[in-house]
Amino acid sequence: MNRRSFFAALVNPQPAPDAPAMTMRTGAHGERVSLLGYGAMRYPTVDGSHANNFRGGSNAPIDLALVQRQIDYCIEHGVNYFDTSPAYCRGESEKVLGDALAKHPRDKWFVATKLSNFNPKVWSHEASKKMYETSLRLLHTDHIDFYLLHSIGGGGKDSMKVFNGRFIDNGMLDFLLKEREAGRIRNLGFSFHGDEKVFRHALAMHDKVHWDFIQIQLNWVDWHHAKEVNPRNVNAETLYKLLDERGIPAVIMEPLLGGRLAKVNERVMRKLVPLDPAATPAQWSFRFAGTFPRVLTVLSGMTYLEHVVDNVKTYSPLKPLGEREFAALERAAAAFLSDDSIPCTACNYCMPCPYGIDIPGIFGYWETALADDALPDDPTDPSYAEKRRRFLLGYEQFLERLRRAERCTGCGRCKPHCPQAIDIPAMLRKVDRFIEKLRRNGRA
Amino acid sequence: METVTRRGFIASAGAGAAVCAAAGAEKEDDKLTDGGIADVTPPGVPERQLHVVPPGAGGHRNFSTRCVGCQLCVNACPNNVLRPSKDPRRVFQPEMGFENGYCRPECTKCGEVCPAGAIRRITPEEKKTIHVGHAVWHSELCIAYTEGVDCSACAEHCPAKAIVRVPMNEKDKNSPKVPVVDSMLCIGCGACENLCPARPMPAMTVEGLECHREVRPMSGLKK
Repeated sequence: MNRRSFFAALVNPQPAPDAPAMTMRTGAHGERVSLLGYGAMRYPTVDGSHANNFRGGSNAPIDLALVQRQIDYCIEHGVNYFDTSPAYCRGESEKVLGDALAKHPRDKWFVATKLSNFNPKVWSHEASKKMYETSLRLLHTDHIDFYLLHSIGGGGKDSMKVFNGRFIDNGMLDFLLKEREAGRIRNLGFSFHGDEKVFRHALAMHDKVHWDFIQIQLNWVDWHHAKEVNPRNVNAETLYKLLDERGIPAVIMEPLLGGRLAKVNERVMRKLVPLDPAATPAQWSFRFAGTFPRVLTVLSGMTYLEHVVDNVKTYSPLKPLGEREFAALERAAAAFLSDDSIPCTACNYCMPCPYGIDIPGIFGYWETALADDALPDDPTDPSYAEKRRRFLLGYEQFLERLRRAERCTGCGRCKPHCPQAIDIPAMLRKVDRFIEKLRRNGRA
Repeated sequence: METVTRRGFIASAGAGAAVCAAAGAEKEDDKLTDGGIADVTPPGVPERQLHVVPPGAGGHRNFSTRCVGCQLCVNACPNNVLRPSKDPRRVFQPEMGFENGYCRPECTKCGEVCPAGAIRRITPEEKKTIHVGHAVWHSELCIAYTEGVDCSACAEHCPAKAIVRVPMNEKDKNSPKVPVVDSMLCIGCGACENLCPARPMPAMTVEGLECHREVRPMSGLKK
């Protein structure tokens, strides 16, 4: 060891040579992909605010130094799949990721990005093509390893029309197939939220298009209970089996439901602790997603380095779940679901609200209270007064006065953007009415 | 040559700001990326023809003759509604303003602390029946009227349920709805003024009543 490497090791500890290696999976063309994938949608910002910290939206710049450290750590520990999109983080995600990856050799990482042409204004061939070319430029590369049609299945009743408008009628799919032939796209796939009809339609194109991979939402709640979380969603089991039958590698998103499954929920933990008292909820969730053999990589939007460290550990190597553990998670899923739940994953697609409402922040606060059994919903509960006090205090402390649920005008502009198809204005009103009732019951 | 009065200048500056706020709302159509958070502008303070004094005061005459300007109620107000007046004729005497909060139906703090009999002690039930002012709608500011936004902020939050939203087109139930204030029910609490998203001034403002009066019993508070 020379002086240089000694100091480098001091600042940035390298994995011990005998550290267990990350579990790897094989892609459609023999790529060796790490089971943990880095999601570039939940970057830390310099104000320390992020999606799971009650405050949802933030205009603060991304903390580039923290991001660089995470990316370096990922690559040093075998993580080689990095997922971004032109829409993420106010459109800054690709550039930040591209710059952070640039210092590492190109053969050390795979990058995934998407055709995020959600707005009809960019449905045209030229505008969509420009989006693709911008991605290549911002990522400082001549080829994209994994390219996705971003979030097909959205658009409500018009989901088929939206799919055709975004990818088929403008010739973008044909263009991307040619790009794949030319080697500038190595794997072509799509990500899916919402209408099952569109999923099956896209899958039926497989014989012609040969999807190299498909990205789906999978976690132990969505496995069998997606419809209960949200009537428009499709059970992950159904989606996974359809991919498995066709031998299409599955990329997993939302393994933690936007962090909601990483939260300790007493009702849930009661089912899990007897089997493995030391495992964290996040570890359970990552082991669940990784156990399925057709899964290529599990994406995690890791905001802070400790998330990366923890998840790397879980997958180095993966300890697959057995029958007993699956059964326990199935029971836990039933306990997790509550009628009062708001299935927000804090993806921020609805943001910014034109009236400045912190939508993911409000829903996050609500869900945290629900998971903590801290929702003061039962006045006969002996701890009602204490719960009420804390709930109101926390709400006022964490959410700025002009960004709370009461300021929602009900204009509904957020609604079409939600991949979970949440009726956002109705849910904001639900939270607001609950709080209003609490305030009025102060003297009861 | 047309001279620009101070009033005219301020009014036109206000109109410009309103256009900017509207442009902010319109930007949605250009949304290409996700995340971030829009700037929020605190609501403006409207000029009132008649200031508002708190429920329990009985009316302006009782209040202005008894109030000694001790500021106990200003300190006690948990919703930041009461503040000392800037009017030299009522110096130190409190009045109500709604840019920080509104006079919440469950709160009777000011009456509990008043040592001078300017604000009588009332119960929350009583409070719900006392008119201290009435809301006035300013169509030129209301985003439902000017932009056709399906906004229900005032009607949703009115504790007295005094605001009805009525479609502007009689034949089309789904046409933009504008708020109509039922002055028989409105108690002047300021919830609508406080929560109205219109800028620079709220489109609902409260005008004070000279003599406070009771809501008619048959109007029955629905909430």
